[in-house]
Amino acid sequence: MNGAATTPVWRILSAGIALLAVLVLIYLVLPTLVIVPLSFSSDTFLKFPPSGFSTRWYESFAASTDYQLAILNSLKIGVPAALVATVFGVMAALAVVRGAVPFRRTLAALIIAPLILPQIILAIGLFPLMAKVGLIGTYPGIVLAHAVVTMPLVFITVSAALRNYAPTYELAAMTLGANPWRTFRHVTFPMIRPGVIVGFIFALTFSFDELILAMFLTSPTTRTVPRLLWEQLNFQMTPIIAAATVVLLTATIALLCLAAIAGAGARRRMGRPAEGVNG
Amino acid sequence: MLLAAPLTLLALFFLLPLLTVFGQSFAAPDGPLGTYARVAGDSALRYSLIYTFQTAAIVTLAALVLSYPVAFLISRAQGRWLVIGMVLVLVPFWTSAVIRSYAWLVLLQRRGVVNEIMLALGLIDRPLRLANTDLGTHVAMVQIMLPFMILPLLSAMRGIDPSMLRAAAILGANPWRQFVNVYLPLSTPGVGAGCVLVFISTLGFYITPALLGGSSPMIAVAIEQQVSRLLDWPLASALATVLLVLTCALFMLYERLNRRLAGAGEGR
Amino acid sequence: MSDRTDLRLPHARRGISRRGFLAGTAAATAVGIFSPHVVRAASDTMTVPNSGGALEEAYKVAYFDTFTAKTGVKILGAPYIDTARVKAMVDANAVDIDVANIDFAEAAVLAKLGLLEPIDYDIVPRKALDTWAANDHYIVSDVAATVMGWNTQAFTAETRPKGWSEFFDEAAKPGQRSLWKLAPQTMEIAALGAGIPADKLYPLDLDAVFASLDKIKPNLTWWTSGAQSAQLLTSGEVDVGTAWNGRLFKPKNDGAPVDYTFDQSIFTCDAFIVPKGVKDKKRAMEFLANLVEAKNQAVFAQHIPYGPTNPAAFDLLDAKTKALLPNSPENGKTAVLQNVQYWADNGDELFARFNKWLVG
Repeated sequence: MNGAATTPVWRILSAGIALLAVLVLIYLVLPTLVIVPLSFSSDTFLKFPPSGFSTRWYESFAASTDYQLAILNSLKIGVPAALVATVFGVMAALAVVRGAVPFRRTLAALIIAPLILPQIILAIGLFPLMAKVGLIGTYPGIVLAHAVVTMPLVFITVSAALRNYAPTYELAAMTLGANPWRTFRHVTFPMIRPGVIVGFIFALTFSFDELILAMFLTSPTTRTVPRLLWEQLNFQMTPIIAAATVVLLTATIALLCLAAIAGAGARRRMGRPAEGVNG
Repeated sequence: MLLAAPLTLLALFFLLPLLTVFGQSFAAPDGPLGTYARVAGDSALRYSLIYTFQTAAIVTLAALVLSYPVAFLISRAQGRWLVIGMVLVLVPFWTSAVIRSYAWLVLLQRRGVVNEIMLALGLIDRPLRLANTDLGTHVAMVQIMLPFMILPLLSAMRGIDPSMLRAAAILGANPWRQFVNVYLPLSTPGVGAGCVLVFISTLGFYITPALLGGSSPMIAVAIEQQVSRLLDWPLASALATVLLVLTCALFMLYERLNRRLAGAGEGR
Repeated sequence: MSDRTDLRLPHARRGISRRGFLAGTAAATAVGIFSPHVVRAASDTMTVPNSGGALEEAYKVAYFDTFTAKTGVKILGAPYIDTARVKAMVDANAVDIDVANIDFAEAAVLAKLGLLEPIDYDIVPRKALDTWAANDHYIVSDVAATVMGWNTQAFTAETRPKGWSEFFDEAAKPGQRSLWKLAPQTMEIAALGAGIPADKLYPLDLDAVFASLDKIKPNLTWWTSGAQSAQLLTSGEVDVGTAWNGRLFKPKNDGAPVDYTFDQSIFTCDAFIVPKGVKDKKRAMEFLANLVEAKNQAVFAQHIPYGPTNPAAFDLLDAKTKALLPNSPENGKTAVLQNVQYWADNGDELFARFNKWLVG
């Protein structure tokens, strides 16, 4: 496959593999691409290719108070949830990677579990509990739920960052008389900062895209963007959904660019959340 | 000390809900195992469970086969090509699953893009039914799951030292042998991680089957229906418990395999 | 949720799905249970949960604003509340709403469970309403319908399946079909398709129902939300299928290749209820009395294509508006009124049988 691929058979084979890979990449981006022309459709129903060009759906998106409220809600829920997830995720990563805790692997698996478990299970467990204490339809309810499922993302990115350098730096600081907080503030945090930021942004984008928990735990006044999109899809399928997506996707990509800038090795770290299953 | 806060959050908003689901599943009027008896006795629910695992297996296998060459290519890419490759994988990854399911609806409808292209190419002479069929749902699900397979594969492949292959080549192995005996085993951790991730995520798939599924009875859709349409929390909880136990079992099995592999790999 | 046997109301979610405001996210309604977001009514305001969206707008113009003008009482709209939440509220003796708009099948279930105040027909003029619309425990306010729709590139009004019997006859009218993947309405339509006359529909002949469905199973696409039902038809994914008239009305108006008929439509309606233990019962009844007035019902029908239950309202409507209403004297000739009492009594069994057939 590498230097040895000289015979015609191997050359054809590797060309075939490359072709397959390109086809798969097209398959991968096709759905995202189809949204863009659709968002400029002049039709009031879902038709592709659209019969004409118009910006009417962008106008109705901009004028829609439902979307304004939902975007505001998504921010009001996503930002606090990601903050909680980040603080707790960093604490958990420090404890598991640096601390002397028993059952390290089991703990790591437990912390990551909320991300991996089908959300519908958590949703039907959280609903009656939150109903009892009056958290359904409130911001704190959904914020806490999102914090639990996004904490693993921060845990994973920060654990990876912690494993990238030796604990001797911290030991040195401690020996020089720094207390644990100062050690964290001046030694550990600068080293793991990219991991923390990437984790935070992953948590934020995850919350922005989460549907199942939002469906169960928010009310029409606290509903998030994915829930609004979902309700619209079930009410009347118009291209406004496509216009909203293009706007929101552009925003997401901008956020991700920020994430890429945040860490020098950010590009490689993009793969990390998926690695999470390894603990 | 550091663990106290995160573990409290987990205990209250993760473990307690799971216990609630577990407890609810036994709260049937017809005896504690009543709901499980109903799951076992209801052919529609039984089929739903089987169908869900079948779908997870199909989607995982398809995603693996399609992802491997892509991950391989990107892992070898340098500079600009690497960036392009990563962007092509990550943009769909960050596009909402609600939206991608909607896009698939546009693509797969009878007068949709896929049918039009195949008609134009003369591959078919009348439009195929793709949306609201198992095939269409699988095509959409695989696409949504691909990044979850590609990314772990990629991180495993990036870790493979190309000199290993060269060494094999020097020792006279043909490309096939190099792949089977050297490359494939070295990429196994990525394959394992990707498969577990995709399999478990597919088990909980809700959006795509609910929107595109036609008659596909994925278990998450069935659970949601039990709760919201039939108001049957015990039955929904029993289904969720079955799903929970199977997911945990799979995850533990994987962890064990992984640990053994990691142990075996320690020598190198 | 200890007494869930009572809450196992299979058809409870029917209405929301029709309106779809909360549809698909059916959980959304469940979300309402015990939720604190309904504003506790002050003495000069009334809280009226309803389906929201276009329906709320029509209610507001026709009923809420006119009631405020008459009494000075302000109406606060609130998110749709389903059977489970009404039950929770009444059981906890914490009724913090006044009147609620709910699907009439759900209203029948609530009435059966004894959770509703009886309608005070000394205040509400019973005679003004169609007899079936004036239930002892709820008032049917407007009439929507499940209709046969078709893609105009596949069929015309002349070539489309004539009636449900041709709909279930694949040989006579080849083409892809669509139906709602839920027992209510779909089972009625299948029974009509088997040639059972409208007045002999209940109790449903299940053998006939499944025989009809079996005939078109290979060419059948299911829809699960109102948006899907319309989308399947406008996109040509299916050639002919069922949909709610409110969902086809707009795409047809906007030039989508879709048309529909009120022939043999199934009436499926909205109701208003007063939960047991409401704070100001008299005022709630006065609200209902206002809702029954022909003038207000006519205004409602001008805003959304759902027909009035006070027949006098038709006299106030022009021919163009009447043509859009499922129960106008012309359109309603061959329609069937869904028997919600039958569904309230037998829903569990019907749902189970239907789901079994789906996977069989």
